Amino acid sequence: MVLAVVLFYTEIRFGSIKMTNADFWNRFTENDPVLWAFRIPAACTAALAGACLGLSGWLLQTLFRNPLAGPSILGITSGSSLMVALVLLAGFSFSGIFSSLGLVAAALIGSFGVLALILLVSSRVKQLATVLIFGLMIGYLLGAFQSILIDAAGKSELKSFVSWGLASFGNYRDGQLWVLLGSLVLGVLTVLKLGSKLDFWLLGEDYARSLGVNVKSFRMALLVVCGALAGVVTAYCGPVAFLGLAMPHAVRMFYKEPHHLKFLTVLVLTGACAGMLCELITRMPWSSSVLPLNAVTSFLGAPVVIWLLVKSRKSKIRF
Amino acid sequence: MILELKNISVGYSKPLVSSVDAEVLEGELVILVGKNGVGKSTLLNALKGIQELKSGTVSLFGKAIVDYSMGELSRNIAVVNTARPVLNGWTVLDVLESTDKSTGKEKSVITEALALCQIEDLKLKEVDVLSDGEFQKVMIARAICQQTPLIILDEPTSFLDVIYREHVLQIFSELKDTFGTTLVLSSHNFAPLLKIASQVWVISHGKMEVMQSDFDYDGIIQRLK
Repeated sequence: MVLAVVLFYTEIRFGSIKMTNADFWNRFTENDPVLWAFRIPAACTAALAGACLGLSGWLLQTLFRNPLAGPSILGITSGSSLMVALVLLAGFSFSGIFSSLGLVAAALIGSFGVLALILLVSSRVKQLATVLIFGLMIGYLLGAFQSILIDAAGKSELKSFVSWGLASFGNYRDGQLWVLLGSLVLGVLTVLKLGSKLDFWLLGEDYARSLGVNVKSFRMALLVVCGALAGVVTAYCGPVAFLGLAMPHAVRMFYKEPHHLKFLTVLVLTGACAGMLCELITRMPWSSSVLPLNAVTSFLGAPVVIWLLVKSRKSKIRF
Repeated sequence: MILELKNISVGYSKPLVSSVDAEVLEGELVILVGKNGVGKSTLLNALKGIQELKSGTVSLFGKAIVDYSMGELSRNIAVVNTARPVLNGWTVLDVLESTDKSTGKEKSVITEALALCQIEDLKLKEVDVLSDGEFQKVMIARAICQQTPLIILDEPTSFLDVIYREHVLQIFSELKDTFGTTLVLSSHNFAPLLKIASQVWVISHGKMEVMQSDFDYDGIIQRLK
């Protein structure tokens, strides 16, 4: 796994829009040109965002005991999206650490708002599938609001929002890496703290309770962490599709491990690798054009979900 | 005395069962019977300490159950219920290991539970492919691994065919006779359980009657009506 990370890292460094020889590369590391201002931040962002989204999707799947849960499915991304749309379309400027943090704050308000709604519904509705559908509907609703906003917006704001909406790991803003790293650390620490309680949770609420899990605070902790992870990534990279949902399943394809504590490391590393891989593909090192990130994540993520559905028919997984 | 119910009533907006008094000694097996919806599960939840009482007190080893912390409860009460969770990729062994570490579980406990429930051959199987009957036995084995003095089971025999039911009966009597475990369970198919029961609690018309001995099936059915 560690090898894979190193491998991907070097791959990212090699991948380039402008031609750079291997000899040049060494010099570039010591000076501060294209590499330090663009490629390395982008690679780090991709790695961190991939890990954050994977973690968020995985914890949501545990929380809802549903393999199809994920930040984009539950409308969490849409919540952040709408709030960011409000900020961007209202014409706030892009530069400076203040706007960067403002963006994060907006995205967090959005994601927590949606999560609070979902939590409210899930406490009333026992059927978890219903909760998922509720999340989807919230997503559509918020999307509708967003399109009204877009319709009403001016040209220049519109462009910045649309390019944000296609999602990208490449738009670097001040302090971005630290905030991403911070939320990833928060996520990892939460998993370490909860430990085997996450496993107990999968047995069902009743069993979890009888094993000493405080249901209310457990739920709250997971929701806050998932909202923070997904919200922060959405603020900086846009509404990235599928990575959160697909990542845990992608890992399970080669690493079947039911215990959360053991799964954690592999998931985070694979999430980071996947983020960088997607970033690499969007930049298409062999050509000069750039693909939208969401096109790439959907191309890679959707088949995983389809595979999951087909497979779950066979092996008696119920929703 | 392990459990003491003093004048308790349980329910939601309206009480389902009220003025319940009962005592359970260590190693007893209590069967809770009643028609659907009379409040069997609600009463069991009250005994597990996860359902608020409308009045009265439930005491576990002489201490009110509301005064126990979640951790303490998990060392005293194990539960088995009817829900079948999705456990993608879990093996039977993974399920049996899902007990609180602080109970000091050892490998030997798991081996013992596997043997008692005769599911050694399922040990490495994925739980999602098990039949409902097999799964029920796995959950009973898991509760045994938790090594608590009290196990509360909600409809443990409901998915089982005749052979399985007979076997679960054996497990219960061994648990109470050899290990001194106290069992409180609700059941619709209680007839075969009567021969190993110490008490039968019959809920009907919002009251609970405690029968201590001479359980006759027809008499219980009469009371349920």
